[in-house]
Amino acid sequence: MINPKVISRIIANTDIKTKLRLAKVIPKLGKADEITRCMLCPNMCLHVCPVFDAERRLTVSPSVKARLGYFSQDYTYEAVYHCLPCDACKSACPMEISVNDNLRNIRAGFDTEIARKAAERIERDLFKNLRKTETEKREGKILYFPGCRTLENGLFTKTVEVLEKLKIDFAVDDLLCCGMPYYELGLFEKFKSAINEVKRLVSKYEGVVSNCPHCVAIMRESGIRAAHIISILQPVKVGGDLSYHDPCIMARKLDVTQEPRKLLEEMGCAIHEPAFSGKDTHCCGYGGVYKFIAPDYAEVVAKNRRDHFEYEIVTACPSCKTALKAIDFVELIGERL
Amino acid sequence: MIEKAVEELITVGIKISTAEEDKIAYCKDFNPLHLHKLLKRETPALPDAVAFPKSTEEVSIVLRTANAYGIPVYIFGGASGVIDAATPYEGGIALSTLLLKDIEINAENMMVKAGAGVVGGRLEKILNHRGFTLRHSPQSLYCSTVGGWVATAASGQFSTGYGNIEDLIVSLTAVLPDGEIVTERVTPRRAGPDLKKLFVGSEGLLGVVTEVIMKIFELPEESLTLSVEYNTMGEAVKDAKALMSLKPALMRIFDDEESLRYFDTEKFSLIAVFEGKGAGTKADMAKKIVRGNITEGYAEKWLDKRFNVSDISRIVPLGFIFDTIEVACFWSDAEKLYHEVIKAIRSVEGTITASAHASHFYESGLCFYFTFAGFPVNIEEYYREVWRRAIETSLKNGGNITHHHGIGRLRKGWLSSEIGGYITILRDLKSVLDRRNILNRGVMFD
Repeated sequence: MINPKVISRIIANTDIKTKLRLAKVIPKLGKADEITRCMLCPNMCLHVCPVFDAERRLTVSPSVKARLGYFSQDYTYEAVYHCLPCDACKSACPMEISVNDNLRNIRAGFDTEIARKAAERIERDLFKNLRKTETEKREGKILYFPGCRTLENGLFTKTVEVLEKLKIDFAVDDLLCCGMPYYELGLFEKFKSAINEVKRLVSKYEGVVSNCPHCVAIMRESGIRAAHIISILQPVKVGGDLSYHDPCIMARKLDVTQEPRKLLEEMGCAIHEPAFSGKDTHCCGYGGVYKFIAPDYAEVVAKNRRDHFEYEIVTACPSCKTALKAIDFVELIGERL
Repeated sequence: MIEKAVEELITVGIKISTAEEDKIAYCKDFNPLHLHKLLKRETPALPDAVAFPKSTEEVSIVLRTANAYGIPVYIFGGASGVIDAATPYEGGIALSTLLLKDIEINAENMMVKAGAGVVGGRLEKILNHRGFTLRHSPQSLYCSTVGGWVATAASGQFSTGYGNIEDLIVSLTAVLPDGEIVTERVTPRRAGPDLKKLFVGSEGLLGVVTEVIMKIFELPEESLTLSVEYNTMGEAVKDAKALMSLKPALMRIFDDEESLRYFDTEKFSLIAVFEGKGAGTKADMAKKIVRGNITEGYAEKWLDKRFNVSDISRIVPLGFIFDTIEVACFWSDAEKLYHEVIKAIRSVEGTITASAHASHFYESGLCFYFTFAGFPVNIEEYYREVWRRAIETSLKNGGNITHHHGIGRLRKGWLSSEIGGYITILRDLKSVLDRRNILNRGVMFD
């Protein structure tokens, strides 16, 4: 906010004609929409944007994407889809603008081939895990909701084993998608239908736990009582030198940065922080739908992130695990339970 | 011509884009007038193509090809320059340096080699992680590039203690307009002509800087601040001059208007940072030297907000125009220059604020950084008039035309007043090195 004393001083020092015109606009100060304000910034979050860092063109830099969003009238631009839901921009922005949140709304205004094709790829390659994974349904107080990405890399079975060993009263039910991919593509109708299905499923339970920070965030935003699985894990003796990668949604949207470190310390691990950690973490590239829009660049983001580490990486997200070839907390604990 | 050049470049494997979205991305720098065009969904200019060379050799190929066809080339890093230098008014090729992104830290010799396209904020973060710092910290640190720093002769917030970019460069590699690659033996210092300095502040007229080796410093363990209040700019300037004997890492003076913005006081304020070994002793001595009223917390408040430029986004959509004008002067001219330039800016109808801080200090003088905002009926006329009056007033009162933002197109009318007879040498150099005038055409002179 601009200091009211500054405004008074401005008015006092201004010629009468300008003063009269000023009176009309001062109440509107700072009220422009976020896309406009972002577009007018010189890109002060460029240094933290993982997509820019991978593609190395201003076109996908945060404020230029906002420009392209602002310019999207009859059609929109491909770069509007080249974004991750990591909110690195928001974290660095004094106006707290999330470029991806705003671009998502732009995407929703257009029926594009980019979104349609990405959705097809997601339904074919990611959702197949929901259909093919064999599960043994079980009753319990809280629902274990693995999420599509957990099913991709074998983490589902391991998590069930760990939850059993920890004697958690958990249920396994139908495997569903939280709808995040549709949400990120701006396909809001499809998202609504996916999340409504999830709401119907979870209504039978006291709450939900998931390995996937993205699922947890989406469910929470939709009014579902959801928690990340890390909140119910117990420390076991592990030891050794490790680095923790903060999944961006876990750190920035779920505000969880200390618990994993505390857990690692209790497990006797020496934690070596990488460049970009905690709230200043760096996306792994596999968040959101970027991997289905620009797979090669998603791999570059993943490699860039891997290069920040010198020690074995531990994380708490199935997407980050795959992207960074990391070990998940569930695996780390499960091996020694 | 451009089609043939693009085809040739693609054939040899250079990444080239003619996509509309890339052209829009490379349509301008950060000169404030451009923002009003964007608000109308207009672009100040559009390149015909954008080239993304990924090595010095590829930059050389792009320039050789452009030269062969006489195609204008505009060089882009982070496009955060404010002097309308990169805007591709004649189409042609926008050459992005962003794929020149390698970083190599030489801890033993306290240097870092960085590609021209490395973004400052990321480089600083990586260095900090290893216990080092560049201590080159322009307000654009997060969005400007290493190559851009050299091309504009940039200066950072810690320049008083550590020097400007020209003091931090150990060596550089550049590509001349005809494609020739020039580099030198890397050494801490040499006698004889230091021709790499030709590229410092050359704004892309003479070549494309592709790689820079810079000094790095250990992250200071100790850092102490000083905050002082004064009734006048003159009193603050006198103390700043006295403090130079202690070589602060950072020092700034804010006038009453800027003090109100940052510290909620209408006094003039001085802040200083002393860091490294002996910082405590220096800070204690500084407190004994200054004659103003020592206060607390101003330095910390400013350090916390120093990269916040969000006011731009808040006021521009309503039809305000703003800009900053930085000029250097000797101590003897400082107080008068400050008052006269503020008066000159305020004399233009439509001005709603004119303020200044002194941002960089030398043994012989300082840089004043004026900020103005206007709410005029005709934005462009108002803007040109403020610039005309401010620069002419600066020149008349012992100031120069730029300290670190550069010349570009914005200030080229005053270049001969600044560099006198050297302008002939600059023109000669340009005509020898860039016979077909392909690089950043229209920048500095027509």
